[in-house]
Amino acid sequence: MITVRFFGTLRLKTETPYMEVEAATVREALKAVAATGVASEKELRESVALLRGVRVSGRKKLTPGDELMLLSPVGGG
Amino acid sequence: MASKFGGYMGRILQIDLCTREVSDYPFSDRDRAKFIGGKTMAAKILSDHLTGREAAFSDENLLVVTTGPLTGSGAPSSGRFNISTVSPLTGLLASSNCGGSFGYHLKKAGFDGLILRGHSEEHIRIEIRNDKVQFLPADDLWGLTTGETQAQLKPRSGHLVIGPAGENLVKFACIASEERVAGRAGVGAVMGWMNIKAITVSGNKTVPIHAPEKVKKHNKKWYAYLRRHPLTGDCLPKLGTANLVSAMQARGLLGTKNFSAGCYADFESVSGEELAAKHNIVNKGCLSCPIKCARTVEVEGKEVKGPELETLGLLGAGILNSRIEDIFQWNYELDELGMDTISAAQTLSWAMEANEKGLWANGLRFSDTKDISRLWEDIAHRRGIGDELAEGTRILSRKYGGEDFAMQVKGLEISAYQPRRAVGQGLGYAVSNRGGCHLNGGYAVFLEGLGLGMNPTTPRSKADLTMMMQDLMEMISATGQCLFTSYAFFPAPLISHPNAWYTRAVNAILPFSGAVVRLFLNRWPRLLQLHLPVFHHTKGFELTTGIKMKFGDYIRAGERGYNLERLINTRFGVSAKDDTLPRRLTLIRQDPKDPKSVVPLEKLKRSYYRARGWDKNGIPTDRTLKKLGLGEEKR
Repeated sequence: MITVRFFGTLRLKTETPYMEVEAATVREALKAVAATGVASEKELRESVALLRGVRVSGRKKLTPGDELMLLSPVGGG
Repeated sequence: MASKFGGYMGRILQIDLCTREVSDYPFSDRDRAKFIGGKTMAAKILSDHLTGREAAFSDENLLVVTTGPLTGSGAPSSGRFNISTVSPLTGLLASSNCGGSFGYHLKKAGFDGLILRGHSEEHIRIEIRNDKVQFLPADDLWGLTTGETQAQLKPRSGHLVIGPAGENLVKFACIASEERVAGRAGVGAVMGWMNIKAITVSGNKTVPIHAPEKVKKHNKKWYAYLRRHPLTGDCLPKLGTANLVSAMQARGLLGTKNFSAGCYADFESVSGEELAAKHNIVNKGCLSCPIKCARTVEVEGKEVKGPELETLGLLGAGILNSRIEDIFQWNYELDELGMDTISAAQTLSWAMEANEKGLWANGLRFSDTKDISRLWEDIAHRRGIGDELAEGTRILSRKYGGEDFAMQVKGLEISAYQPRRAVGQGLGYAVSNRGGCHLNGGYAVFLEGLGLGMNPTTPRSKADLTMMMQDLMEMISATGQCLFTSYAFFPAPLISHPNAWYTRAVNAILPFSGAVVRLFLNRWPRLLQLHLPVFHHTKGFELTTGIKMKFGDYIRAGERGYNLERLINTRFGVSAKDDTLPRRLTLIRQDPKDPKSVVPLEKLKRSYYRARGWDKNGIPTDRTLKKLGLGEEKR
């Protein structure tokens, strides 16, 4: 299982802090989340995906137990 | 001296507290065109006065309150004003910016600025109503908190007040104005030393506008643009600055346990998402602000201002605390007592580590939060260990040891961003004129992962980009606007589509952009004689004031201000030796396996000095000063 965590305004949209999905790549994980209806695939693809602090693309392979962080645009200061 | 320019009231009020003499400070239109307003105008005033020998607590120091030409003009997020002085914390030039409505009221009274010099023998408050200045006794207010004091003052006017911390010369005391504070570098202690508890200002004058109809039309577009932008129209209104906690955690940027780490296991419990979902009552904003980034939360049954990112980060991850309600309480208490939350929190986390390492047996431990409220009281009233903590991290670490992990630069504590995973931000902290400030440092962390996705650990082009951001923000601040409007500089598609090909291309190009940035923005800004379509500031400024201000002029004015502040600091002996970071950030890897997880400061500094046109010792060269028209300011 992959844990997908939502942050920023995306969290306000999903109304849940995380979901667990079966996926072999980041893109598959996003599709699996979108299939639950909490957010559209477009919205998910427009977020920044980070794995262990490093930004990853949709093609990045995932291994069970991975925690994927999805962040909407942020700013402040 | 009246001004021919719009946006300016044309007068700066000067008060000598020793003699109670009130006069107009001479500031010409030539000065206005060159030094604009806000912190840059204040720097010019202080530059003409300071020799480099003045102590913060002395009759030779000045407390300078300035507005910008856009303050109160109706431009978006233009309710800002600035307070500059010699800082008791750094011993150097301090500038602290504040929202609220004081700046607007000061202009309504007919003044662009207010200069206070000397000190009063008695505790006083000052009431300014148009041209009339009254000195009133303040013994009945002395000892009251900032909120209690403001409740006693005239309504429908602008207030500046100090709390007990300012009265007791806590080195990081702030000045409060409504619920906003000029927090940094101890400006409240200087006001306390002057024996001023409060200043109220009101008036019925109107801010003149050069081209009122055009300004109205332009501002309408400007507001609409900010409301559409993903950061100023969506992220900040919905989550406030607290949105950054989780984004920083995700990138290893969240200063944790006195910056020994960049991630905090319990970060979710002190995050913006937690604040928004369970605690925020209503969003609030300053005068004429479409962003409304402030939160309100409940403390002691009252609706009060919620904490900003820095306070959440430093009093959460910084001291390993996961109770967000505690942070609400402390944020409220620190505001009421009149202390900067960043310096207070960093001083606390340093003291916790010093205790843990056996350097100073003070009883303070990470995660142990039960007596913190009492500790704030003790600091504000200088009781027990509070008296020592009131001196700030630099003095404490010099006394007890532990300078390597004292998170301060030039005496000013750094904010919540861990720079070992954003080395441009590390450079910014080191060279910032104010001391360890993320904003005055240029806020390169925004390019290094938070907003854009530039490689955060490469030193390449960071010096040039840091300089560009510093100059841009210097000028935005000088005009009287909020720095959050600077996000408009980054086109919305780049922010809202972080995975698009064009955003990836920009991220890939940024580390190679230094030469171009230097060439156009800093060497030949006059080639940029245009208004950028996404950056409404330049046209807004031109239409409001009547002063020609294309993008190249705008950046150059910011550069002039930044260099003038540096020049003042050099009179106090600042040079390359002072542009430092604590050794923890430059020598100890954040990730033991990653050699890039330190700030390569010396390399960055060399590039930065070259880009700035400073010599190897960090002093602006004659050529640079001549280029910026600062020949007269050199001493």
